Parts: sequence; C-alpha cells; structure tokens
Amino acid sequence: MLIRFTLLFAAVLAVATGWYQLARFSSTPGEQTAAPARLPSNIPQISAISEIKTTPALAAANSSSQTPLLLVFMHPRCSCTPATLQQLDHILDVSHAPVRLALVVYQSAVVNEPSAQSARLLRHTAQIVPDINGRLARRFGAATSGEVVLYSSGGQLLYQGGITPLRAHTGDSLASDALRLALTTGEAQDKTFNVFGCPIFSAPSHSGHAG
Amino acid sequence: MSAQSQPHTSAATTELPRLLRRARNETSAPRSDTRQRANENAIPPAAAVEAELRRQRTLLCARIDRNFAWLMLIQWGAAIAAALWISPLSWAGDTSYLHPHVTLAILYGGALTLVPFALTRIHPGQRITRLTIAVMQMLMSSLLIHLTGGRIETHFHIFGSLAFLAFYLDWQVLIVASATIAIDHLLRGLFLPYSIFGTYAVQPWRWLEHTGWVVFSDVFLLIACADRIRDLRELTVKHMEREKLLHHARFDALTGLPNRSYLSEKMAEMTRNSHRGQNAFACLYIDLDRFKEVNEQMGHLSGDAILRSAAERIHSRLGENAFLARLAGDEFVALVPEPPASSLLLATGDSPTPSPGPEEAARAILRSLLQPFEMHGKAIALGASIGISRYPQDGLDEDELLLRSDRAMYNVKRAGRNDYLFHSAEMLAASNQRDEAERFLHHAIEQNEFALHYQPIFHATGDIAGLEALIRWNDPQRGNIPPSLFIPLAEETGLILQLGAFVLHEACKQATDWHSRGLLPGRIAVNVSSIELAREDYAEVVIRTLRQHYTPPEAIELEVTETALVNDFALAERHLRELHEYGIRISIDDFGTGYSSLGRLRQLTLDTLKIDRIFVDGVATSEADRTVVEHIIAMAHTLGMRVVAEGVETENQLQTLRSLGCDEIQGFLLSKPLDRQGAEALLLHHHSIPANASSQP
Repeated sequence: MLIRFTLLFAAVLAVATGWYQLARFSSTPGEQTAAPARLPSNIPQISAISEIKTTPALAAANSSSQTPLLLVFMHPRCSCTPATLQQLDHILDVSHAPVRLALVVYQSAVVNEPSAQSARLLRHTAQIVPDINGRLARRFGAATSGEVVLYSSGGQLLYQGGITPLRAHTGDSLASDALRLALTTGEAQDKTFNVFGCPIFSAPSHSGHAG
Repeated sequence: MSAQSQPHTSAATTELPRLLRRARNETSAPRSDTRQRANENAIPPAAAVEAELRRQRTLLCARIDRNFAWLMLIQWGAAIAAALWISPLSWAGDTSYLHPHVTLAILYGGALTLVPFALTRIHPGQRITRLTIAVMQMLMSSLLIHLTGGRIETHFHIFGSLAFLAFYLDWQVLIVASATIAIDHLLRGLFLPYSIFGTYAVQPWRWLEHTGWVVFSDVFLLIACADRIRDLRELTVKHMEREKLLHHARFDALTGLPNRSYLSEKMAEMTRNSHRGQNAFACLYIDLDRFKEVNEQMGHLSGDAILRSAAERIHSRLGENAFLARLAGDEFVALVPEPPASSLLLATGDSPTPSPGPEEAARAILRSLLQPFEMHGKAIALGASIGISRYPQDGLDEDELLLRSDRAMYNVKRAGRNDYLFHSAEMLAASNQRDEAERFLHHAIEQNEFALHYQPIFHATGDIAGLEALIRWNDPQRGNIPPSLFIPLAEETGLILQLGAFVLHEACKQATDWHSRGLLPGRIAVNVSSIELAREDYAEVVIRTLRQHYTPPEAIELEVTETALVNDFALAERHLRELHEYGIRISIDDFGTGYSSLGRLRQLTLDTLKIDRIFVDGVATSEADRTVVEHIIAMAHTLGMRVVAEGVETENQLQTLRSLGCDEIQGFLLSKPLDRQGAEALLLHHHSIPANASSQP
C-alpha cells in the first residue's frame, strides 16, 4: 500500500511539475532594455530603410522616408519569432498604416541564414537588415528575439516591446493592440510590453531567460 | 484378472442384464431431458446477467486499456516529434541547446504515458486504470495544444480523446476527463489565458465556454454510451443463452462432464492430431457395477447423487491431460494419453509418473469406486468394469475404439466384474467370429432355415400332457446347429426377438391345427427369453399372435426362467399377469438354478414349475437331490402349481419322481424332441407312456 501511495504521489508530482514547467517556459518574458527615445541618425543601415512598400495598397500612397519606421529584431533560428511575424502581419492588415518595415536579423559567424529565409516568414514586404553580431540590437536595446520598436516619422519612439502574448503564441493581446494604436494614431505608448522569445545574445549579461 | 488376460470367446455368454439396463436408461432419459430443456428455456437470472455483464465490461475495458496504452505511446512519440519538428533547438545568440519543449515532451509526455501504461499491465480492466487514463489523456491533449502554440485545430484532440474514452462505456471516465480539461483550462484561463484562447478578450472566464463545449460533447457521448450499454446487456443475455445451449449440447446436465457429442469431437481431434503413433492414447470404457440395483433400491435421486460422486472420483483419478465423458446411464469413457516412452523409463525408477497411464488410471478408478458411497447414512458399495482399447493399435477412429473398449468391458463383466481388461487380438478374433456368426444368423432368419421340434411332456400317469416347442437351425452347409450355440448370440444381438416371434407364430399355428383336429391333449410350451419379457408390449404381442392364429389360450404355455424375472421383476410380473388373465398358462422353467427369491415367485401367477435337470439327474441316486425334489414338489403343490421334471433319462428317475408325486415327466427316456411329422404321429398313435419306456431313445 505504501509503495502504491508513493508511486501515485510521484506520478502526480511529475505531472504537476511538467505542467508547471510548460507554463513557466511559455510565460516568462525575455530580457529588455530601453530603446533610444529618438531614432539614432548615424546608422546607415537604418537610414537606408526608406522606400519599402509594405503592401500593394501602400505602394500608391505617399510613402517616403518620412513615414514611421518599424523595426523587428529577430534571431533567425528562434522558433518563437514566426509567431511574432504572424501577429505583425495581422496588425499591419488591420491598421492600414504606411510604415517603413525592416526585419533586423541577427547574424554572426555561427548564425548566418540567408535573408530570403527570414523574409519568407512575413507575408508583408519588409527589408531585411543583417545585424552583424547584434550591434544594431544593442543600439536599440533589443535583447530578445521578437522585440519591436516603432519610431514616428519625426524619429520619436512610439512603441517598444513584444507583440505576442506568450512564446510562440499568436493572438490578440494588449501589446498588439498598443502597436496597432501607435501605427494608426502616431501616438507614443507609455508602457513597455514584454517580449516572449529567445535571447538574441549569448553573452551572460544579455542572455535573459533561457528559452 | 491380469490386465492382458484371455478374452472370453464363447458366444454362448450373455449380457442380458446390461441390455436391460441400457433399455431402462433409454426409457428414463426423457426425465433428465425434460429437466435439461427446462433449464435451457430459462432466462438467465438478473444477477447472473449483471455478473456476466461486469465480466464482459471488464474484458472490454482491459482491451481498451491496452489500446489506450499503445495510443498514448503513439501520442507521446507524436508530441516529441512535434516538438522536434517545430524546433529541436533553442538559441541564445550563437549558443544552441535542446529546446525545452523537446525536453518537456520527453519527460512530461513520458509521465503522462508511462503511468497509465504501467496500470494497464498491473490493473487491466480496473476502474483506477481507466480513470487515470482519462486524466492523462486530457493532459496529453493539453500538452499537444501547448506545443503547437495553442492552435485551435489542436483543440479537436480533446474531443477525439473524449470519443475514444467513450469506448469504456463508463460515465465516470467521461466526467473525470471533462473535469480534468476544465481544471486545466481554468488554471490556464486564470494564469495563461493566451495559451488556450489566443486572445486576451473576455478572459479569464472564457474557460467556462470551453468547458461548456466539452460538456456538450459529453452529453452526446454519454447518451451513446447508455445506448451501447443497453445493447451490450441484450447481447450479454443472448450470449449467455447461447453459451448455455452450447454447454447443454456438449455437457451432461447431471455430472457436468462432457457428453457423447463432445466425446466424439474430442476423439476426432485426438486422432486427427496424432501422427505416426505419437500422441497415442487409450480409451477406457467404464461401466459401474451394481448401479442399476442401487438406483432401483434407493430411488433415482440417490442414484443421481451417486453418479455425480462416482464421476468426481473417476475424474480425480485421471491426469490433467485426460478427458472424461459420460456416455449414458452409468457408463463413462475416459481418454487417457499414453505416457511417452521417456516417462515410462523414468517410472521404472523411484520417481512417479506425473500423469497416470491407462493401466494406472484404471487401477486408481477401481480403487476409488470400491470405497463405499455414503447415501442417507448407508454405505453403498459399487465397483466398475473397465474395458480398454488403445489408439492406434486397436482402432483408428471413434467407432472402433469405443466398440473394442466396450467389448473388453463386456468380457470383464462376464469374468466377474470389478476389474479391467485391455482389448486384445484374441478378443478381436472372437469378436470377428461373433460378427460372422451374427451375419449367418441374420441370413438364416431371412432364408427361413429355422424349424420347430416338439418334445412331449407326459403325465405321471402316462398320458401326453403337452409338448415343448424347441427351435432348430438346419444350416444347408453346416447341418444342425445346436441351440446352445446360437440362442445366446441371438440374445446378445437382439435377434432373439425375431426368433421368439417365429417360435410363437409356429407354435400357435401348430397348436391351432392340432387342437382343431383333436390331437392336442394339452398345450404347447414356448420358451420366453428375458429380452422378450423386457419389451413393454410383450403381453400385447403374444395375445395378438394367438388371436391371429385363432389359438385357444389354454393351448399355449409360456416358459419363463428365473433369470428372466430378475432383471425387471415388476414389468415381468405385469406381463405374466395379463397373459395369465387371458388364459395362457405360465410355467417357471429351470427352477432351482436361478437367483429369484421364493417371495417374489409367490407374487407371480404360475401354473407349472419345471424342476431343472440338475436335480433330476441325482434324484434316484442322491438322497440330497431326492430331498430337494421332494420339497420342491411339495412347495409347488402347496402353491397350486403342477410340477414337471425335465431331463428324465432313466427308469429309476421316472419311478422315483412318480413316487414323489411329480405330476409330469419330460425327457429322453420318454421321448426325444420330434419334428412336426413325428410329433403329429405320436399324437395320433401314442397317447400314453410307452409300455417299455427305457427302450425309447
């Protein structure tokens, strides 16, 4: 009888632990630092993002370097990031806002995916900006794959954070609503939203939550 | 008697008691058949149906447990595969490691799988197993939903799982499964609403909507389960009825042993599976001794109880590989595998054989049946006669094996019972001879090779009192065949009924003829076989025959031996009373050599008593024989019977019998049996004892 109770307790404990770990892994946000309040002007790769028409409809619009700039920092091998891009597609669909869109893709001697591979993850057209060794990410305070920053046409930071509710989960959330609002109204969002994804950097100081 | 003792080759030996017993068993069979039919028609009681239903459900659940165990293994593999396919590795900059989803799919999925998998092995078909499976299956659904990012498509896994769980036909399983997924969704709804809803809207109580759909699904499934349970109950009742019918078709209702039909199947199977002498077996034909007497004395209920006890004893003495069946009445057949040669070698040492061979089994059965049976405070001793035939030496099919073991058993009976005997080549030869003789007998009846001779019976005063009809077989090739050779065979084969009918018809015809011509001074005596007397309609047959030939009843006398009366005294007494009332004279033949009691003879309506020749032989020379005969005559006269002395061969015997008051004389001294013409000539010209009797042949 004691053995049976012990085994039963062990089974229940194992199941409960597994359930908890599963929930914890998905719901723990990645590390974040603040992005520059003003868009740095001395970054050539960023300055070059000017002529991207995110959708055919916007192609006819007055799209220029004066339109807002949306940067998505991503690790190309993070399995959580496709959910971010899927959610971004949805936000862009519903906002109808002109935006200069760029995927800032981490690149190093080890992680060196072709640009086209990252571009295929997004339905909208975006410029792929290779981020050698994550220098750009560091500049914008993005430590977790899936972090989004939005600057207005005047260079003011409107939004910073993730746009998925959990790791690898799509769906409406306060974060995605906030980004959509920033895109459509041009108003800055006070709150910084959690990012759920893999760490962009492997350095201990930037590793964030192991995911 | 040794196991391989000589068979009895004499065809003159009869087995009348056994034939009569068999006839009685056949007549008593409808009683048990009626009981059996009553049982068959009975609807299984509710408790039995519930018990069977529980058994069926346990089997069903055990089968579903096994299916779920394998299904969960597959799901576990699928969860790992999905995690690997989505992302085998997780990255932090340039550093990669196994994705936590993969680790969780292995560990957490393993816990969800292995716990119920173990339970299906430890407690198959038990409630704890299926309830655990229900919980784990729902958590597996939750895991898969989570691993795939909460996709709505994966939620269908929950409903698929519920449908699978519905196969258990247990509402508790569905309730527990629903409660599990509800709690899971409640917790996720409270703490991780995005993980299941894909949106933050109306959180966290949206879990109630999820649960509502699960309950909605449950209602459908529970209705289906209830319907299926009703079907299962009906099927169970039908199944039980069918099983019962099948059981009755193959098993004996009284002892629970396999019956003749099942024995046939088993023997066919054993002979079919035997190759080149391997798997040899012996067929033991077991017939209880004295059972009929016990049955009559103590009643059928006690007889049934004894049969059951005997069956148990026999069964307990056989090895586990043996097969025991009840043929009919007190006859059993055991199929005992022959021990392999290796075990025989072992058996020569001190180590016993694991299963008794045929001979050991026969000995053990005899020993066990010799132990008295306790019945109503009385110790009843039985015994058994066992005939053994062996496959393949003695026969290759059921008929041969049963026939030969049966014949071996007959030989045991003839030799004094309570023993066993193997069928042998000599027995087979004797059997073949008997078969041949039987064929000849058949042929003789068909070709009308039989005729009647008549031996006169004289009054002590010298007048002819009547004649005894004696059958003669005149074979064209072999000449005259003595009755002592063919009468026992005819009795054994049942042909005595045809012979008896022939004798009666001829005697009646002749009696009518002589009587109408005034030649017949008394009666014609006809011998009656015990087989004939055992017929239910014997009296009717005799009276019908007399009427057919217009024979006066007083012109016929029926001679019955004491032995013929022993087998079924009540039936014989009824026949003789009816015939006597009709006017036919009844004679007790061979008096003094049988086993009947005087008390029973006193109950019969007898006209004549015939003293057997063994007393007559010494009546003139032995004071003891003379005294016996004197007392028999006195007793018969006291009971109102006339006395006939048969086998009188000397003048001294004749004079002594006359002096003792014997009424009638029959024997070679006075006249040998005569053919019809001779008898008729005697009746015409010789109405009294010849002046010089000793000169007669």
